[in-house]
Amino acid sequence: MIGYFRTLFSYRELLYFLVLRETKAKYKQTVLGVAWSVLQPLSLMVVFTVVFSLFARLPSDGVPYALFSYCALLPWQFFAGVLGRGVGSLLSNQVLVQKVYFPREIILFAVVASAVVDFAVGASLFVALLWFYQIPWGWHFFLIFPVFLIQLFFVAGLILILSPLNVFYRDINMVMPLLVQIWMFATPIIYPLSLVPEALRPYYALNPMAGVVDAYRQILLHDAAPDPLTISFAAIIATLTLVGGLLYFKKVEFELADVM
Amino acid sequence: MTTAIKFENVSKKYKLYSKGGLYLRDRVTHALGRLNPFNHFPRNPEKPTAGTQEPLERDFWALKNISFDIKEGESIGFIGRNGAGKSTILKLLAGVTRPSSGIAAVSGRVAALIEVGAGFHPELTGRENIYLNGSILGMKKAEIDNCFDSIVAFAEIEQFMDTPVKHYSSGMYVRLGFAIAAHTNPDIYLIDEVLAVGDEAFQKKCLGTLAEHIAAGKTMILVSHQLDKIEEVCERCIYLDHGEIRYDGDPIDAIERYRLDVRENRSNSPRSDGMSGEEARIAEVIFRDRNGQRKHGFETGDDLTVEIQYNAMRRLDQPVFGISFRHPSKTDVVLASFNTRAQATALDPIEGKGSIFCRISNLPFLEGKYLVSVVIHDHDLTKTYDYHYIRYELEISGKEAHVHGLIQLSPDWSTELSVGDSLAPMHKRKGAIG
Repeated sequence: MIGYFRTLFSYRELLYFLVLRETKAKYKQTVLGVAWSVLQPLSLMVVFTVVFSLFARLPSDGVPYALFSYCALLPWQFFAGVLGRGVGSLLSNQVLVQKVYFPREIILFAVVASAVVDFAVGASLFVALLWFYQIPWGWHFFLIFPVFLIQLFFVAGLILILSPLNVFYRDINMVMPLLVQIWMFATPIIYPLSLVPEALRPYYALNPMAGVVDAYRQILLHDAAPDPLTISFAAIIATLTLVGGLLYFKKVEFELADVM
Repeated sequence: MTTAIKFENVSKKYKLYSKGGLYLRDRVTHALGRLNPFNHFPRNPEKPTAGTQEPLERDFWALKNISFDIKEGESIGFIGRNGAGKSTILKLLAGVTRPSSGIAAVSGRVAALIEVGAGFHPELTGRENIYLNGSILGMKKAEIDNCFDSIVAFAEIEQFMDTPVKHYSSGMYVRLGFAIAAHTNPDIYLIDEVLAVGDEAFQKKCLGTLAEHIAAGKTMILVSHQLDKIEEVCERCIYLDHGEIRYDGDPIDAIERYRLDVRENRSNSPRSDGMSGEEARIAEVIFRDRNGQRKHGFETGDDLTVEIQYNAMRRLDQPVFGISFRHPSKTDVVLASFNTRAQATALDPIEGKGSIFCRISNLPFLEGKYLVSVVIHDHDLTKTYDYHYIRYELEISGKEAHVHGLIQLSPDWSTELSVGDSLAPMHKRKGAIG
C-alpha cells in the first residue's frame, strides 16, 4: 500500500508534464485561452438565469439565481469535464499505453488535475460574484475543502472504472454524454434541493453529486454547515468508489495494452 | 557478464474477437443467441446450421514457450514476419503487458524508442515536448535539464525550439524523437523500427550513436524489417516464426534462414487464397544454357532458356505463362516481367504433363543473384492456376569488372551529339525517307 503510493509519487514529474500538456494543449490556438474555463460556466449561468429564473420563476432559496446556479455549475462542470475527457483518455493515449510503462492511472490523474486548474480559475469569478452580491463569509467557508475532496475522490474513482471499461467496450464513450446530461437533471443544479418532494429526498442521497452541490450552496451562500447525513453518505460513496476504482484499475491495468 | 533479460517458457495468449466483439451489443446478442434453444442442437454436428454462432472470441498464442537469455551489453535483433511475435516480446520487455505463463524478467531501466513522436503533442513547442517525452521515458526533470542542449544539438533544431512541433517537418520530428530517446541513458534500449525513417545521413548518425551505446555496455534490442540494419548493428539475432524461436544465433545465418522461409512460404501461401493448383501446376523450372545444358550460374550476355514443366489436370485452352525477375534486396520492384499473352504468343491447349521453353538471349543482368517467379494464368489473366513467387534463384557472374548496377546497357560516349537511330547508317535512312 505504502509502496504503491511511493511508486506513484516517483512519477510526480510525469504527472506534472502531462497536466501541462492537457492544460496548454487545450487552450493553444484559442483566442480567449484560459478565459474559457470562466466563460463556459458563466454563459450557462446567464442562460439558466434567463430561462429558469426569469421565465420559469424557479425559487433559489432566497439567493440571487445567478449566484445560486453558478455555485452549482462550477462543481458540475468540473465533474462533467473530467468524465468527458477522462473516459476516453486511455484510448487517446493508446500509443503510450502500448509502448511505455508507467502507472497508467497517471494519465487519468492528469485529466483530473488539469480540471482542477480550470475549477480554480472558474472559482475566482465566483469570488467576485460573492463580493458583488455582498454575501457574507464565515468560518464555514473552510468546509469547502473536504467537500471538494469528496467530489475529487468520486470523479477519480469513476474514471478509474470507466476508462478501462471503455477500452474493453467502446459503448461507454457513446453513452457518456447522455448519461452526464441525465445526471445533471438528477442533481439539484437548476433547482434547489428544497423543491424535491420529501418522498424522493432519500434517493437523492444516493447521488453523491447532489450532496456535494447542496453542500457548496449551504457553505458558500448561507454560511451554514451542510446536511451531515447527506454529506457523510456522499463521502462514504466517494471513498468506496475511489478505492474500488483503484483496485479494479490495478487489476486490469496489464490487459489494456492487449486489447487496444 | 550478468543477465539483463531472462525469458523462461514465456507464452502469451491473446483473445481474438470476431468482428466487432468490442461492442456490448455483440456480447448481448451473443448471449441471447446462446439462450436460443435451437442453437444448442445443430442437426448435423459436423456442419453447423445457420443459426449456430461462431465463438465470439478465440485464443491466439502470440508466443509459445519462448526461452532465451540476453546478457548485459549484448545487441540483439528480432526478425520475423508480421505476427511472428516480435512486438509482443517488445511489449513484455517494456513491461506494458505480462506473459500468460512463464517468466519474463528484465533487470535494469528500460527505454523504448517509441514510434516517431508518439509521446509528442503537436500543439506544444519543441522545448515543451522534450520535457514531456523525456518524462514519459522515465527521465527526471533535472536529468532533462542537464542534457537539454545536447538533445537540441543532436536533433539539429536549435532555431525551432519554441515552435509547436506540428510545424516541424517529418525529418525534424524523427530527429527530435530519437535525440530524446538516445539521451534517456537506460540500461536496455528497445528499438522498434524507428530507424526506418529519416534521411540517410541521420540514419547513419543514429546507428553511430547506437554503436557508441553498445560499446558503452548498454543492452540493445532491435526489431526491424530492415535486415541489413540488423546485420550491421546486432551481434546476435533471434528469428521468430508463429510465436516460436526458429533460430537464435549469428545474424547472418538467422537472416539467411528467414529469407529462405519467406521465399518458400510466399510461394505457397497465395495458393491458399484463390489458387487451388487443382487445374494446373508448375512442376519444375529449369535454367538451361544455349546448349540445353542445365545450369545455375550464368554470365552477363549469356543466353538463358527457362524451361517450365507443368502438369495440367484438365484441358486448358490458351494458357498464359509468365516469368518475372526481381532483386533479392527489394522484391517489391520488378526488374523485368513478361508473359506469352503480352507477346501475342497464342499457345496450343495444354493437358497433362508438358514443358514450355522461354529463351532469353543476351542476358542483361550484371553480377549478382536474381529471383525468378513463374506463373500460369488463364487466357485473359483473370485466373491464376499456379504461381511460384520468387522461388528460383539465378546467379549471374559478371565478365566486366568496371560496370556496376543491375542491368547492362550499351552506352556510346562521344564529344558530338548524335541524333536519331544510332543503329541505322545515315544514308540508308535518308534513302528511306526520300
